[in-house]
Amino acid sequence: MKRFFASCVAVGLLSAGAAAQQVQVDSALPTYTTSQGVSGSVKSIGSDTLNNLMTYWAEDFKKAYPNVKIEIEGKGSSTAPPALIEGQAQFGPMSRPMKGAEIDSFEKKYGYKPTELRTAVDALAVYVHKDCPITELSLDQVRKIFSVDGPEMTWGDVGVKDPAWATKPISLYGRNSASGTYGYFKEHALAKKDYKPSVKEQPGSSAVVQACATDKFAMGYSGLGYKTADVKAVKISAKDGEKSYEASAANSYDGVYPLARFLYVYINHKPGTTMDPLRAEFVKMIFSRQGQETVVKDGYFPVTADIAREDLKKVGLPVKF
Amino acid sequence: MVENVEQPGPRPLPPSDLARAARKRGTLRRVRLADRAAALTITIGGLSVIVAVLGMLVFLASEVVPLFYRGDATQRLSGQAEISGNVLFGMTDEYLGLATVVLDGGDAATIELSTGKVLNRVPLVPEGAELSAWSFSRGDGAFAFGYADGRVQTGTLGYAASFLTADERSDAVNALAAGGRLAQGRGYVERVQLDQFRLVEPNIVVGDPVSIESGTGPIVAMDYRLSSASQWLVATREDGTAVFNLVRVTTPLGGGKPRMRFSSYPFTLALPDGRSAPDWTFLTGDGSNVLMLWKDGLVQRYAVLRDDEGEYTAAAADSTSMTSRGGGGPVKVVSASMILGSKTLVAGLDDGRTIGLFVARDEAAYTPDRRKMVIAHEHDLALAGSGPVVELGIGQRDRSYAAADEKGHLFVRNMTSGKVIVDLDEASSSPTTFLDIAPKNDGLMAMFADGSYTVWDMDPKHSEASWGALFGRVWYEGAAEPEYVYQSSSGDDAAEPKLSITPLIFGTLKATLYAMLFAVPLAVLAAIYTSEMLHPTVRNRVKPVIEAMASLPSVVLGFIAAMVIAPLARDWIDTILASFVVVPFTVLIAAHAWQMLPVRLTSRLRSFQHMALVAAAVGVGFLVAVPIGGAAERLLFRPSDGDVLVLAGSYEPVPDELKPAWVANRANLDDQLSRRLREQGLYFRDGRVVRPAGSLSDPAVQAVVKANKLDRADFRLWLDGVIGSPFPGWMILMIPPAACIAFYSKSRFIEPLVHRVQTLRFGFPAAAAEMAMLIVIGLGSLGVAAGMAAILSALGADARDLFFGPFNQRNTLVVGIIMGFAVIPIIYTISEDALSSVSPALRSASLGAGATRWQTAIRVVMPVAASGIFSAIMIGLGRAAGETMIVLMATGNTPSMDWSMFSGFRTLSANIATELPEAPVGGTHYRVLFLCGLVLFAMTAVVNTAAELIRQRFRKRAAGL
Repeated sequence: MKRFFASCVAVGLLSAGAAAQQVQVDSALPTYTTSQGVSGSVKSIGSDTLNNLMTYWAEDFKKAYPNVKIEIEGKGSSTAPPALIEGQAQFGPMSRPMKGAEIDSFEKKYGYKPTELRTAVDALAVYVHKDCPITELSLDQVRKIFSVDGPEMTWGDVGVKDPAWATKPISLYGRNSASGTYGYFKEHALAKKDYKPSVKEQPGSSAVVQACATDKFAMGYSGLGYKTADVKAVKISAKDGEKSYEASAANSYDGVYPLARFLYVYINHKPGTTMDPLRAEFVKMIFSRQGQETVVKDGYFPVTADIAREDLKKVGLPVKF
Repeated sequence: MVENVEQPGPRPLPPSDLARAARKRGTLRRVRLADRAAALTITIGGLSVIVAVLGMLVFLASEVVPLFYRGDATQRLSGQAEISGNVLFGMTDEYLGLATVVLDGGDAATIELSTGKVLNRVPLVPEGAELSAWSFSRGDGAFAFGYADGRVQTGTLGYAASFLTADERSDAVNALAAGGRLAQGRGYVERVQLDQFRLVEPNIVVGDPVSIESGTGPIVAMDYRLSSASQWLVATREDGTAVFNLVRVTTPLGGGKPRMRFSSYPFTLALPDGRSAPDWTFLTGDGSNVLMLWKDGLVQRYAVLRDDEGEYTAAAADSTSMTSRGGGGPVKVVSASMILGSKTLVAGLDDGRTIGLFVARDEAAYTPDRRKMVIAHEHDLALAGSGPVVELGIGQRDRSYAAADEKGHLFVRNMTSGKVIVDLDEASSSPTTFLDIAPKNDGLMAMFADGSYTVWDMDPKHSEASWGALFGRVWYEGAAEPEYVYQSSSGDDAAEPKLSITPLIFGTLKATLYAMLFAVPLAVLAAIYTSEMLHPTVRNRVKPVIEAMASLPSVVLGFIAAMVIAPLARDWIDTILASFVVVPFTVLIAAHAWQMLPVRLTSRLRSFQHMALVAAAVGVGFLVAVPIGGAAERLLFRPSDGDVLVLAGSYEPVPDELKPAWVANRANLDDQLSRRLREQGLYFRDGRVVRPAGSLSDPAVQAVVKANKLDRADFRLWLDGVIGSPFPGWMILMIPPAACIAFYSKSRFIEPLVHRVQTLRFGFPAAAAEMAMLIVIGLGSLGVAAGMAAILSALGADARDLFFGPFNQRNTLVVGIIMGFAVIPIIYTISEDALSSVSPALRSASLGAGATRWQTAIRVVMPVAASGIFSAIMIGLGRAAGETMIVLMATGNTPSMDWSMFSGFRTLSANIATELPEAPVGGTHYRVLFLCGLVLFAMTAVVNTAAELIRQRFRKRAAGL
């Protein structure tokens, strides 16, 4: 099991660099400065979408504090709440907000709710093979393709005229059910309808992209950070007949790209207390210019200074910008 | 596994040794002691293995059994609220300290549950307005009021929780014990832990009233729903005019406030004949349906449609009626609400039943959106003699709802599974006016007309799980009929978990079947070959090599299957299928050719060289399979002229009278239905039934056909059901049984005839005759297969419904082959051991009597070693059933239920592996995964027990030898 996931991570790391787009980090964000007396070990368990990003952050952090040990595990967002509750992890990266039931069980144990930090912006992309003639889709079409709300579809059904494609069924790839991406896509793209049983569940984001790269008639969804040269992210419109938007930073910030979302890191923070220096420094680093440049390096979009301010306040950290 | 058949008996000691033996008694006792110690150790070891296995079973069962428990409720408190008047709606806070209720005058009163005091009372209805309709959606607290003057007003009800800092706390608050609560301001403070004080206060937001311009008369029914990206409001006026308001919310992730875009679509909803305005109006959660409900049980649905300009309209779709117990008679609806997720409408009837109704997809339905309403669930109040279901409360964590009659009977049930969670009889003198399930699903509150109320702590346990929900077909929201579905989790609370593990059991059986079909013949025949045909020195080298295959970790095999074999299989599928027939036949041809060679040549060959020749024959088989596979594809899977014309776009719509009635209003046909249509020479294109038009000789058509090679035979297109007839599929499937029939008739009928001819009994002529016979029966079995295929196709059966289906790159064939490789070493080794341990005397006797090696192996050695071979197969079966990583990586883990070799599946073991990390300990999902484990355990236990029983019978038969 572990070995397999490790290999997924490796594949992901290789592909991530290529997808980086040039997005400017908000200049209001402070530069991170190393402080004294930080040591110990932390563990992060959760999202696979955020796995690379957490790894990069951890590397940066270890450069600043060589005595710190950080372990990162990314099997899916749904693994984060149990790990936070059981105290196995100090950071719970998630690509969807926590469910009510998950917050309930956290609150049952600690008496307060977990704290949600919005650490990056992602545009969830719908991928096709690079040779695929499709360039844009509406969310209504996406819903019919992936959910039980529509029939099994061929490429002809979504408007491809090329006879080599028209009669071929769309081969569907998606994430496993532990994934926050799976949950987010179901809620926002499929209008909460169930996935078709023929959607092939892949254990990682890069596996979905890889499947789209090798299967010519494939369509899959995954975070934009995992895009490679062999796949194409189609433009998405909110409804049939409306303007479609590319998965870009500007469109995500503006909210017009319908599948833009925050990527979260959840922590166990007791309200009204000061956080231990190790976690505090890590959070500060995430919301610093360096931390957000790492976000850009991984292919996601940085959060703005406003959001950084709000979230630092949530955990009682000083905001001096 | 296999015991020695011959046990050497004790040798009688020569008389002269007797004295010495007597002197050595001491040693013998030591031996006896050691013997006893060993026996004891082995017994203890064996027993502890049994205990460990039983312990595992008990542990699994103890994790699973709570799934079937009912929930329970204990009364926490009861009190008397300082309010009067009827309660319209309301909600408790998530820690069950407050209840905010909206009274029929339009005031919102927040009651402290421990004392019954009203802490806060705010009027929501503006001065002078007369409230004529309201709606409340429990999940998001969204409410809407409609007034007699045609105005509407929306707002939200909720609570805000915050933690108090040291400065904000009064002395009285500081004096609270842990868990203690104290009213403060509009809410209360609770000391959660020693240093934590939580303040909960009501948070009521209400907007300004807005006039509705169209229609006349008061607002009579309305509904208001929220989602993350949209808000919908539908309001019906007395004259039947309904106004549909839509607010689309765009949330910029770059910071800043959400942008709202408001649009209003007035439309008149055609009320059913003779009906006045409805008693209830509901919107489904995605804003795509308006449901109107009348007290006599009639439900009329309007589909909200979006036209090309993006404007919304509503069209009357379908209607249905709730019927009395046993059907036919009149009913009276007394309460109605929407279950969590706003897809299922729950109606409480005056005969003590509740009805669950939702909109389902039905491609054939003559409605504008090809959907129809279905009454999927009907629950009887748990207690006999219950009165009308006057109040309903909706759970916020799952599909549960609470219902109460006027006498104070109340129960909580899960809508989907029908499981009774709580069943209470709170005999009260006044009818229930308000019923609420606490937001965390951990409490229940009922308020009665006299202002008295009771609060229970509730533990719903596992409301989604019941025998029916776990193993049977369940009628899930949005489905046209009950079905087996496994889709365990999702990103939001409103999702309905679907936990039928039948598709997983099916997947496990399918994986095992395909793996065994591939592995058993190969492994057993290889074992026979190495033990019976090869020289012992060669055998001693071959066997470890095959056993080394077992050391390949299955995750590596899975990786190879997913990354290498699957794409190869996609490109070489014709060759792979052809090689299943061609390779064995080539080996047989080679074997017969071998017989025709002069003995002085063949007898000179060493064992290694012999084996190399066999390998060469297999290799040649694969090489031959390439052209044969291609030829078979070109011959069998060719599109008909009609197929080509339609593919090239040369077709015309079919007049309605020729259109089969079953097509009805469908805009899409699945594979099976479109094949059914094609059998009549008709096709389905662009949402209608068409037939080929024009001719292939038309230059324009020819150009398209040429450019895209549309007349090319294509196996994948045939699998997808786009071209061709059922015949070739059956032909392929029938080759193995046809070959069996042909070989049987050869040995039964043809051989005796041939052997009558004296010259054909010995030497080269005999070998040549055998070869001729082989070729004849080879061709013969093709003929028989074609015949059988023709019959089956004529009967209307299509193999594409059964073992073939649309091609998926991650498919069962690939997994079967790779998993076959994983189990071959184990089956091979144990079978080989079994065969080798058969007494050489039997073999010598058989060979000496003139039997060939093959005859000896099959008729003498095999029956004796049968029990061992059987064990080998069963152990392989157990391994295949429990195999996880190959399946996890090489299939798409799609929990579908079909036997097609080109589709994926999900097994119990892969399901446990993927989902266990995400399942919270002790939750329903967690226990269902343990149930998967228990079922897998039971499956292997049954197989192994059956295998052991059969093996012992075999052994008894062989014991005499």
